[in-house]
Amino acid sequence: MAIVSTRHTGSRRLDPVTFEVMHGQLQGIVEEMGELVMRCGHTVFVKETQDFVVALLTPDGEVAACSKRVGIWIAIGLGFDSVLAQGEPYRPGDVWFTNDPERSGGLVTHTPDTFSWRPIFHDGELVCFAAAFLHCTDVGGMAPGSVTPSASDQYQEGVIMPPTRLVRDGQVRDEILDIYLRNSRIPAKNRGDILAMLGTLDRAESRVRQLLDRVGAQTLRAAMNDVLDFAEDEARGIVSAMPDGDYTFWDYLEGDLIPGGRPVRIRLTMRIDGDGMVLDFTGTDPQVAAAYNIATYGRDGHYLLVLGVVNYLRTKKPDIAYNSGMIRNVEVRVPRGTVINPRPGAAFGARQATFFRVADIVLGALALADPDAVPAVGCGQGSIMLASAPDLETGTRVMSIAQPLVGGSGARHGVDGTEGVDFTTGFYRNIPAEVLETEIPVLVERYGLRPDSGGAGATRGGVGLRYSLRFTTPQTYVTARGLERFTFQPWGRAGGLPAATGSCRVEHDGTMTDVGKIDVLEVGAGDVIHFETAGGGGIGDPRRRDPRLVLRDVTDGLVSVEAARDVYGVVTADWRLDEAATAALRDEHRVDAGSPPPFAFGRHREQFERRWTDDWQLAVNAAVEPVPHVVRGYVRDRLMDDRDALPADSDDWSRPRIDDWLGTRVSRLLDTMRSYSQVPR
Amino acid sequence: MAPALAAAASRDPRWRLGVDVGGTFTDVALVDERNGRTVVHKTPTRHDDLVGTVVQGVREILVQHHVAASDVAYLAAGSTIALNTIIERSGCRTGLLVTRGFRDVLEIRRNRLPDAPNFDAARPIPLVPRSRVAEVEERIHVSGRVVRPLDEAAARTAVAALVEDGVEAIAVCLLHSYTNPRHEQRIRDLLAEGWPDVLVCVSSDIWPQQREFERALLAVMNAYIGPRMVTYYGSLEQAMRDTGLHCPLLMTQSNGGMLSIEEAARTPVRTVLSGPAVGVTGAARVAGDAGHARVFTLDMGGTSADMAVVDGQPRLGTENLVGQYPYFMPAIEIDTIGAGGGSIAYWDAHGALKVGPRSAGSVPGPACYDRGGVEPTVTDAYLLTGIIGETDLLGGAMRLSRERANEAVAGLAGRLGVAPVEAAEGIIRVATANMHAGLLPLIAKHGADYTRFCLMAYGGAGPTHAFMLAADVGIRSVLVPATPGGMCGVGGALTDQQMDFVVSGRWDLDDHEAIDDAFASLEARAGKWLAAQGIPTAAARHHRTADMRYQGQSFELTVSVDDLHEQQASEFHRRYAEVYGYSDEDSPLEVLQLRLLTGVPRGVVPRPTRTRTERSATPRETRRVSYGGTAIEVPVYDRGRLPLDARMHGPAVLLQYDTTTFVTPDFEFWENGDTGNLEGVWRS
Repeated sequence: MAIVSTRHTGSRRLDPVTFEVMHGQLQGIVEEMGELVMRCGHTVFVKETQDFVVALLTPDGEVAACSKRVGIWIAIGLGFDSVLAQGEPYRPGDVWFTNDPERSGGLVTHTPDTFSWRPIFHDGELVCFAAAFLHCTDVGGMAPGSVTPSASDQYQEGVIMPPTRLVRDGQVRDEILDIYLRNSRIPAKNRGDILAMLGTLDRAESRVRQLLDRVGAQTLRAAMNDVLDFAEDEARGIVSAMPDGDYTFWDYLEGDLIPGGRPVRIRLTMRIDGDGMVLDFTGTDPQVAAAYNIATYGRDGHYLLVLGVVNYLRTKKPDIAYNSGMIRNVEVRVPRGTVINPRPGAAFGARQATFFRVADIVLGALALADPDAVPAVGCGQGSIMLASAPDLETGTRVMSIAQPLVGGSGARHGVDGTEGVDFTTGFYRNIPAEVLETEIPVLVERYGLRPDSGGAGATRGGVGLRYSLRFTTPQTYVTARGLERFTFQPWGRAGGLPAATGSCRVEHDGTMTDVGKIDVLEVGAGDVIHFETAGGGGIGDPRRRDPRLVLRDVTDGLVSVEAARDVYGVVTADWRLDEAATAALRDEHRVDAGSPPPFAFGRHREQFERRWTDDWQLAVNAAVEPVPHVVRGYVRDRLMDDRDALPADSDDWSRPRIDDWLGTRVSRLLDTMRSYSQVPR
Repeated sequence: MAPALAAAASRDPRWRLGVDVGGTFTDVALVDERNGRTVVHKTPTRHDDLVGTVVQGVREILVQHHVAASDVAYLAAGSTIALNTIIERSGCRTGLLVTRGFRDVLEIRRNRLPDAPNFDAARPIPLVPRSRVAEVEERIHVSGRVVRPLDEAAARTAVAALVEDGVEAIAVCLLHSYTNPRHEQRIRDLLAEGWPDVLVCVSSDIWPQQREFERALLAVMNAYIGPRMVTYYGSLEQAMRDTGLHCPLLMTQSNGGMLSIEEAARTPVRTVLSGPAVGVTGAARVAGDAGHARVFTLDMGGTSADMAVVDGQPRLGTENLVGQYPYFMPAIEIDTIGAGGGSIAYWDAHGALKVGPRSAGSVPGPACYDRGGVEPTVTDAYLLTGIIGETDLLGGAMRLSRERANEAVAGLAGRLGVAPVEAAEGIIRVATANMHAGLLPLIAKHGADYTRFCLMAYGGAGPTHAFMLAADVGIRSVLVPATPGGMCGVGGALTDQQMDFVVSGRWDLDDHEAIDDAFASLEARAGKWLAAQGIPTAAARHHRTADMRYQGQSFELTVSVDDLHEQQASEFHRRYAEVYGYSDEDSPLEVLQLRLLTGVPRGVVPRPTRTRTERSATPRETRRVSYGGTAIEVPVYDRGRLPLDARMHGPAVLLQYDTTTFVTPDFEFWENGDTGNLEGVWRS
């Protein structure tokens, strides 16, 4: 076994045995906190999809411990430091809360996420905080659920509570809670969720106090700092094993529901330098007038930017200490005014689509740095489908999440992807059809895997899902936020093919209509909505896939006989392998064109980028940089329209020529706007 | 068969046999109903001949104790065959029939990946491959109304195709069959008529509860293990008859009770988690007889520590796992922590001492066993700290090597910059902390106030570690039974025959009539079951529970509803506050499942009388033990020779054949002359 440096251990505060003992104690406390929230929560979001986080924080607001068993995996990099000062001086029995993305400096990233924190004292001295957040299903705003892609500013997304003391001397301030609940469509359920969260903070405090009574404040503080340092050492050890260099990768939000309808590019250069990492998002597209923005405030290690890194670290070292120490070495650079660091006023609700895409992009950059450790990309979508239907018996509307719409994972090296579930959205629990049909008047007609949707490869991407729901009532409304990968395919790698894209169709009176991504859709009795979700990309040449595995896929109905023959070069008949025909077919198509390109993005993106080269996209963003923020989006749209009208030879223009052309246009547009504004009214 | 149990109990006083087929040893316990005397016999498990192992164990113990086979009142046996068949995926070729549109019910599961952030995460692979799942045309509405009738011709074709594909068993799970089983029953009949050789398991027969994936899974597991279990039970019954045992044969099940062997063969899925469960039942019974109603059980063996909560009765849960598969029939809820005597300690490159979950198991075993193990384990640490001695195990028949233990720990000690004995103490502290951290969520889930609980330790290492764990957590009382190594066998001999019944729905708490009707229908089912077992209704006890929650929640608390209707709401709020620390009395309640647990009490076994001779408080030796950072002088006693009911102070090491107990300095202890248990209490 290799001798590994233990360089930091000398600076630790606790001996290795006490350290491990305390580490286990802290983890035990947060696991108990998580159990409580899950069991006591009232909304499907909290109790089933487990969209919540529980944590213990250092007095500086760093996450020192968080649940690994339950909840959503975005606790790493939650920056409570930006809100803690607002509650000072703390007193025992306080709990503060907020759902304000801006006043919390990017701790909150959309209004449904309700954060709370409680100081824990020992002998009059602040030792740590217990903290939690959970996704309140509805906090008001223009659409049920408070999240709609078409929201153009945050004031359409419900009530906004700046950091506020919710509990004083252990008593809930009902007058404050009432404001929050009065703005919700489902106050009783929200109340249930919030009481569950407060209950867990209470429990955390009593557990920490028991621990303090046994070990004292000094040991507890030392332990929290040590577990953070420990995770940092582990992460630095893993990063230092990666080859130094710059790894550039980008991908798109499809943008159909954004004014202008253009794809939004997020561009990343990941710099590995020794044991540190920089995520530089320079070149990313500007913020949008729809709910896809993420309020990161460009903070280092921001939790919605680092998920790909965290997953990579957890893959490299599954028992890595799970706390914010893991990403202390991750520096972030995000220009202000971009979709992942917007200026005030932006809408944030559907930012989860962006967040999943950022995770995919980090994965792409990691694939360049450490190709064998990283899978191809997964379905890239964790859409939440909701239905609201009239209930004739009670005379009210009933509303429920119908299903998280997710898809297959990317293929791994040597191992196929996972069917119908991937690594970014794999925390969701689904809702049994039998339970859903109890909640709302629908019939689930199909909930199954989608054959031939996994990206082909030597290892195959996981397949996506097919989900069909029949409605039995008129005036039923369906929303499905965060639908993506309807046009840009999940990419394959190293000769593997991209996966099938998703779709949404509605069947009405026997006619099927492709409705594309939906914002809010009205359906009636007898209508059936059919979703298909994307699979994951493949890795390696499909013609090198073991024919026996192809046969198994054919037998299991995940790959069609035709695809086996045409894509994999495997001939089957009556569930048997025709070895001779397979060998002949594979021989016929054998090409040794050297090593394949690192990624296969699929036709849609290739066509798009034939016109919109990296240079063109960067140049447009650079050209609008001097334009006042308030009209930047407008100017950018005009430039892009004009560029689209250019003849094909413009695709190959040099960057100086592009800059020149754009510069002229920007000046002209600005001059025109200024002349208008000078016209006396 | 089914001879009346009540009749059996009314004959002359006889003997009870409890059998536990374990991975290494098969334990057979023999309990004398007249005086409670209990003896345990161990026989190595022969995995190629399990029935033979049981026969041998039974014969040996009967011969040793001069008991005639005809004097046995009944035999209760448990094994891990069903569990292992699933975990090792060695069951039969199984098919599954589902409602059209739901072919992938087993593939999609509940979606969530156990460890999704890991790119190497694996999705649990179904027991039935997609190619052997067929859809049938039919649909039942949530109300029970038939939306689309069953297409019987198509169902026959689907079955024929599966049989053609070589399936031995077919599971059937149709949507909403828990509320209207008609289509499932029709398919069952079709199969019985056309394919009598194929085992058929329909979900509404096995466990009619809402949630299609979990219900389908139970039917699938039952089908998957069915043929093997039918064979096993058949040959076991034959072998027992050949041995001269004509008494009832009972099998232990996951809920801690017992089933007739015919019943077990029909629904073997009920026995899947019986192994550790029956140990908990036995422990609960032993602790209850000793006056301890609230108990944490700690069954610590070579690879892991199993912990469970007993509050009057063992707590049943519906979120247990069989390998990676959820198991939502009621089963004794057991949390397993990777901390056993064989758990391996290692140095983490970033500067921490870690223990487990990897284990040296029984092969090669801890380094001190000198059977080729070279990595340091918890047992090596026991030896080096002096908690166990070189000749403590199996009455000295197995000698431990201090030299090997020292070698194994040396590397770690070097890393830590301390002497091997200090490193060994570190290993024990970390193992204790792991158990402590593992116990916390279990305490939380059950709302247990641990200061009022007793820790009952059994298994090879349980008594060795129990006092250290209790001291760490703050548990104030510890109990070690007379034969800690044979608890699972003893448990079988002490538990009741029992069966669960469930009905799913949604009830308002105020709708007393509907709830009473539902319980009446459950009792009618229980009555049929009793009749089939040949048990007079009067001999049975029914326990009613309801799974309740605040409207809108997803997790229910099981509340006893034997009380008056009016008290159910307050009982729920009280229990909720106990578990979760708060309650919300303004919030409406709903009832999701009503359950009936029907038990047939086995009659009280008197406590054994103990001989008071040849006892002495003089230690056989004194040992230096490293504990709490210092070396302390610890007297060593033979447990069997401790004076009865004489309070003594820790520290102490107590030797007995199947384990060594270490009493830490903060406890006082005594050998209870009445119950035969070792009791310990905190000396605050």
